[in-house]
Amino acid sequence: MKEVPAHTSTSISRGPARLSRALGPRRLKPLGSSKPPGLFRLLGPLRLLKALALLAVALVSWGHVGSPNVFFEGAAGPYPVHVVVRPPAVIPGVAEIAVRVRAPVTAAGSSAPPAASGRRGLGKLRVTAQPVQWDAGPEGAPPADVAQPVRGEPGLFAARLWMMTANSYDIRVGVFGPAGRGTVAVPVSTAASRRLEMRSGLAVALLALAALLFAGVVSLVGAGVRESVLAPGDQPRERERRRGQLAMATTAAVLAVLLTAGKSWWTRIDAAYRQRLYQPYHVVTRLQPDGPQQVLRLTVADPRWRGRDWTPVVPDHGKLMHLFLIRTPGLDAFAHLHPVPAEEPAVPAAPAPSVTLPSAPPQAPAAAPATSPGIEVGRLGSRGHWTGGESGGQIEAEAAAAGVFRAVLPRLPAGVYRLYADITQESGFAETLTATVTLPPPQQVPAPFDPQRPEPDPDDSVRVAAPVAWRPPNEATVSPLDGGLTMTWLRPVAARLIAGRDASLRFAVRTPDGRPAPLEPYMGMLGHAVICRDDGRIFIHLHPQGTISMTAQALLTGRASSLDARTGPKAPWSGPSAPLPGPPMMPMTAMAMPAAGGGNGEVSFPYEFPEPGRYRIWVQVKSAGQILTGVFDVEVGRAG
Amino acid sequence: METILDRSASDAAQAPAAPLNAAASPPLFAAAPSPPSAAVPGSLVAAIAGTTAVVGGLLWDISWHASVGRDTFWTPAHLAIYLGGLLCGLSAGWLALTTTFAGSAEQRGVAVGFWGFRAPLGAWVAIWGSIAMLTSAPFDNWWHDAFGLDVKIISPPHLLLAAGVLATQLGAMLQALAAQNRQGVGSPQSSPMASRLAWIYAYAGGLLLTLVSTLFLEYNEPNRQHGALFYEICCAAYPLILVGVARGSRLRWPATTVAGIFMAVRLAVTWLLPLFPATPKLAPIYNPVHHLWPPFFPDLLIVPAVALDLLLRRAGRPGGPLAAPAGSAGRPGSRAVLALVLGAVFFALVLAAQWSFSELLLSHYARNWFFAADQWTYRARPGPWRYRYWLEGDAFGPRAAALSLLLAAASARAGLAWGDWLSRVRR
Repeated sequence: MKEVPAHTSTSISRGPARLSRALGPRRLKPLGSSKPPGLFRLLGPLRLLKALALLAVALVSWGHVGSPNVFFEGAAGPYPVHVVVRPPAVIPGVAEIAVRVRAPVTAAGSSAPPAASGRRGLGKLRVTAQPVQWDAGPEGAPPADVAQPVRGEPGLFAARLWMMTANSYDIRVGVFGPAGRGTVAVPVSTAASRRLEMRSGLAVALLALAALLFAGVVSLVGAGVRESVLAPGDQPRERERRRGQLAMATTAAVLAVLLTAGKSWWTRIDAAYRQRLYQPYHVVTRLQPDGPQQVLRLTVADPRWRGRDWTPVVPDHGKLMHLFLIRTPGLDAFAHLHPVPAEEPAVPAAPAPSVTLPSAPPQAPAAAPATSPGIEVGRLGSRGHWTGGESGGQIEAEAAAAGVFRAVLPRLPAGVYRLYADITQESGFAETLTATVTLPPPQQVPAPFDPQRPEPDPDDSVRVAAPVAWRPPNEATVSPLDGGLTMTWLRPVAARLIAGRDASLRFAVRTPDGRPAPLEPYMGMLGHAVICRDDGRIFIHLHPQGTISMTAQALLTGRASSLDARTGPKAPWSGPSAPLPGPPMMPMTAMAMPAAGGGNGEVSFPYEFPEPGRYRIWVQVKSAGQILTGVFDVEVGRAG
Repeated sequence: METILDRSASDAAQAPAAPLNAAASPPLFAAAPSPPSAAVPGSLVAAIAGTTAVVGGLLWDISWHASVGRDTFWTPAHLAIYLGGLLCGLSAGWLALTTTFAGSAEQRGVAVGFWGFRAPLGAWVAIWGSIAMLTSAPFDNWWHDAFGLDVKIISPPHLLLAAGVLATQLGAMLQALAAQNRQGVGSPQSSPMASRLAWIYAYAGGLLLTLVSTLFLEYNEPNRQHGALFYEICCAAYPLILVGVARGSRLRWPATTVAGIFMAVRLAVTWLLPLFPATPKLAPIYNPVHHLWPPFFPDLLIVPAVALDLLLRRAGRPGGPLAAPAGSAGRPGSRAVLALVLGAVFFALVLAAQWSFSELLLSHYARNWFFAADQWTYRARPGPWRYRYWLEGDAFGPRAAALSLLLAAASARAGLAWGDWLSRVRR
């Protein structure tokens, strides 16, 4: 058994963190050169700096980076379900939905998968899937599609749904069977992420046909001018032949002009499409000394922030933003922070002449004073239901609309860090903002306590481990935790992880004497997993419920239930027998515990790795009031 | 396919005196100029049936996208389009093969040479059209994969499809026209065959006008008819077809007939489609739809068409600018003047007709099955915008009027030139 040596592993308690340098240099460093060169043509040379900054964040990311598939583990009424949604890369496009229904947990403890047919098992199951766009609601949704049972896989159902806009949707999964009926909303944020190149075979075939058609038109005009007006039986004379040739030459020239115009039209459509490809908000980072500690400021400098498609940021499991700092290369230092909106107004950080805030909702002024939270209450309440019992959240959300966040940095080794910031909008659209920052060496001298100084969030955590390394696939891995605890990755021995295949991740936390450690909710979740490939191009933050934003799910479900209440039950499963998940701001201890089953010290995450490569997984749990972070490395192979 | 053919037949039945039923076991090729054959050529019947299926299928498909949304290649509307195109292409191809390899001297005498083969010009145009239509299928499929399912009519692969459809229709029209022109000079009353051919030609012209209007359907809402773009499109597109087709026709009221056929086909579609139930299958649905969406009430092109007929008839009298055969010594400026007059009359009458008629369409008097002005696609959000003019960035002013007039005159001038050639096509 190999272990990942832990250099430090701390959970930050209230109090000043210490950093050495007064002022760290503010730098932006591209994460990679993934963007096609066409982008530069769209931006003028004067905006090269901005383009570089864009490159830094141009990785496809919304609610993830490079890991678009949605995994959900939960329950549709009495049925435990595992839902996988593969959103389309082109919008409008088709999302593929897979629903695995497990047997309802009965008093007898039945666990056999229900049969898809009525002949055996628990009887006939019917599974439906329906795309619901957040602002159209269930009333604006088409009739649910019946998911087809997958042959040879009892309990597995598949459906294909069209996603027509780049927007926040939920896939409403309904399960009907002998144990009753249930429904669950799986939030899916859609965005165009890919531009399809034409395969060379098709291109050659189309070019050949185009040449044939071109020659055909020219010959047709020639024949028309030369012969079509002749009396039957007459042969074209020299004069007609010459006129035919002239007409053919003219036609060829005109066609060439038309084709050139068509090509430029196509190019314009393509450029417009590239513009519609998802790009996360442009973020500018800056380090600010505050006494002995460093404060990281994230400024969203993007005209789309507060633009037409923007809705306010809402807290997801209690925090407006989940910020992850991962040192590169090696992915050895890791921090999970929770920036809060900066009180002072935003400093326009990017030289973007178009940074205006068009159509900013008049109800939410940019610099709304924190003392007038009432403005937002009605709107958020009627649209989102997230107001339940946390008035501070509204104040935060208003301040967050300014787009400036700050986080007190913990003690982290110097170096270049990649930043991944998860946010959820009120529409349910969840996305990951990316940036880089270079941290100076931490300060050696402890700073005196200053009650005026901003404090780090008590849920912030840091873990520093050895750089990412290759691990034999057949070796169980154990990661040491603070206080002598250990975390073991329970993976089938000798089972190589393959990209695109189910890789449910299960971890067991043990006390020093080997007993299961009792786990407590950490920010309402039994566990948090952060998965990052060593090149930083794939990143995701997930929970035992999967990759979804719990707030998005509650918002979308809440909207649905409020509509149902107003219009009466329309869907066949919307009766009282199908309880929808509760409001999002339920007591944190009650949140997410049933699906996780933390009593045995175990936590699991539904996932499948999108691409081969070397990944690092950080698994965060809380036990005895302490945040514990296990670190695991894995090499994921290519299918086939 | 049953449905498609039924629909095609019903579309055809709406056209005045569409003589499709008259054709029973006809010969495969057009007969010699004299004596007139007793039956309409089979290839011409096939071409007319095919183009009817294509135009009906296109309107059906647009309605499908507006009310159901989700489709595959195998929707009945798509099948109507592609099978109709194939029917045109295959019948024309068969005609080309038989004329080239087994044609009599007479048959070969009414054909044109094309890459070593011989067939009437209309057959070649139809073959080209069906190849273009088939080419557009993989192109359009790739386009959807690359840029997403389209919700627009005008896109490069759709324009290629439109060019193909246009060619199959032109092919049908040219086949009818060549047969008509070989009948010798005279009014269609001179023989039943001449009458049939004249009507088939007019019907093909009406379908052509329907196709072109379908291409611009997304700029055809009544809400745009106090704006500039609508009139600019009308003036650029329609005089060319009305004047051109009319010049080739031997009917007494050719432009009026063509415009009447266009309106009849469109009205049939507007009134028949809502009889079929439909449910939107794509989110978001902002407007509940329960049946297939009827396209807008057609433009009243019959109004300017009557005036065009009168003007053309007058111009064709001895001493008029159209009296002398083209190419002979005449006054070259007189045609430009005639085109200007035709364009100005067309523009003035379209403006007068649609300006006032759109007011009716936006009023509550039009929210019924007849005018179908209250029928919106599933993507149309409810709101007062539905019954207002959309004038933002599209206001109609002197500039737009001048441009429309210019376009109408140019279009009419091109129509005169095209019509002169049409009137002489004999192969």
